[in-house]
This record gives sequence, structure tokens and C-alpha cells, in this order.
Amino acid sequence: MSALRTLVKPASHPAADALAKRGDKWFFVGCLICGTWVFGPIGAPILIAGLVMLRQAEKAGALIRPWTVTVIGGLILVDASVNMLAWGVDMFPAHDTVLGRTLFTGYGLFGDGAYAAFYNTTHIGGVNISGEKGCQFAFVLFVMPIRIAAAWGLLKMKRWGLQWTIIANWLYIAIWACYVVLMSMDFPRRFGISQLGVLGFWLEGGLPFLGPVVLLPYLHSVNRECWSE
Amino acid sequence: MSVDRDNRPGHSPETPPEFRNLHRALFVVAAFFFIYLVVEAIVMMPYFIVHFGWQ
Repeated sequence: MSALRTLVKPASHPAADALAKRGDKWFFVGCLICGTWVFGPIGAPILIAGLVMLRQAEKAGALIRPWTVTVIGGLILVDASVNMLAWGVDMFPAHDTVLGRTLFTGYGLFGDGAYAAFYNTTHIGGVNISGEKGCQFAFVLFVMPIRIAAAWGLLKMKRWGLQWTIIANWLYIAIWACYVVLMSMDFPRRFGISQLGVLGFWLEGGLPFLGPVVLLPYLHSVNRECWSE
Repeated sequence: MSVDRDNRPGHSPETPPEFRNLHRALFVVAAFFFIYLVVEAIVMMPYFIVHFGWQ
């Protein structure tokens, strides 16, 4: 019996519980769509609708998870989706489509010049820096699917979800270290030719990756008995 | 709320009492990053289309 269940004895609220479940699904799907970037403006209202449903379900008496877990799970989902679904557009032949080219050429002109200069000129397509491509394979095919599955488990208060979220975020930090060195060494032909320049380096290589630094102290200091499903 | 549980950050059951302040602070920072990523996702594509056009 979980500690959570022994702490509280939830009353039965079938309608509120159903609303909470529906809100959860909307939240999950909205986070993933947001992370595609291409359809980001569509994903945000879905995500917000999910949060509103969760709030309404809580008010109606449903026993929902703590809000900190929801926000942290959402942060992981959007971030992982960006690094899997959006970046996957560059990795797979979707980089030849109008949407793919518009997204990544714009991204290159704005922030990271590697996605604009000599874009789509190698046999594999997409960005033409070999180190970037290596990181891309590791992120898109390996670390980010783990993070998404782990975040879903975390949101569902499953023990494996908490454990795998911790593992996946440490993996993320390891790859971030690799990525920062890569971006620094190729700085002149990447951020040196973009609109943002140095600011782009911090906005793309620094700020978004700080998530795990925030998450790990939380994940390591929670009462694990709550994740007992 | 009809259940006897406090879901606020720092007060919810997953937070041990000694980590209340830490968890409250981490919630604020996590919420900032969450909003940052969602806003980025909303504005990114429209900004590229408007400023650089369809490629």
C-alpha cells in the first residue's frame, strides 16, 4: 500500500476522476505537440486546456498528483519533445519538406548558423556538421525517447518513472557537456554568422539545458514512497 | 477540495519537511523554464515564417 494512499482516504468522485484522466491526456499530448515547434501554436492551447481540466477536477474532489510534479513532468515532456520530434525533422528526410526547411533555415539564420549555411548538402541531409549529427542520433534515437517514457511514468506516479527520470536526466547532462564543447569549437561558423550571435549560444546552448540542473535536486530529494504505483 | 491533502508546492506529500524551501524554490524555477519552452514553441515557427519567409 502506498504511503500516498495511507495518508489520505480519497472519496469516490467518478466524474471528477474521469475529468482528471482526460486532462492528463490533453496535457501529455499538448506538451508533445508543443515540442514539435512546427505545430507549437496548436500544442499550447491543448496543453493549457489539460491544465484547466486538472484544476477543475481537483476542485470537484479528484485526488490529483502534486502540482510540482505536473510542472516538472511537463517541463521534461516539452524539452524532450523538442529534442526528439523537432530535431528529428532535421535528422530524417522531413528536412526536405517546406515545413522542415522553413523551420531549420529560419533557426539557422536566427540562432545557429550551421542550420542555414551549407544546409542539406551532405549525403545524409540536414545539418552538415558531423559532430552535430552524432549528438542528434544520440538525442533523437536514444536519450529523448527514454525521457518521454520516464516523464509519463513520473506523471503517473510510478516508481520506474521516478527512477528512469533520474537516469535520463543524468544522461541529458552528459550529452549537454558534449554539445556545449561542440558548439564552442564551431562557434565562428555557427553563432558567428547568425542574427543573435553570442546571445544565440546562451539561448540555445545554455538556458534550455538548465532544466535538468533544476530537476535533479528535486528528483533526488522527494519522498519516493509517493511513487508507488 | 474535498480530499484532505495540500497540493501546493512545498506542502504536498512528496516533499519531506526539511526540503520544503528547496522544493518551493525549485518549483518557481521549473515553472519559469516550462513557460519559457512553451512560449518558445509558440513563437518560433511564426517568427521564422514572417521574418525569413517560406524556404
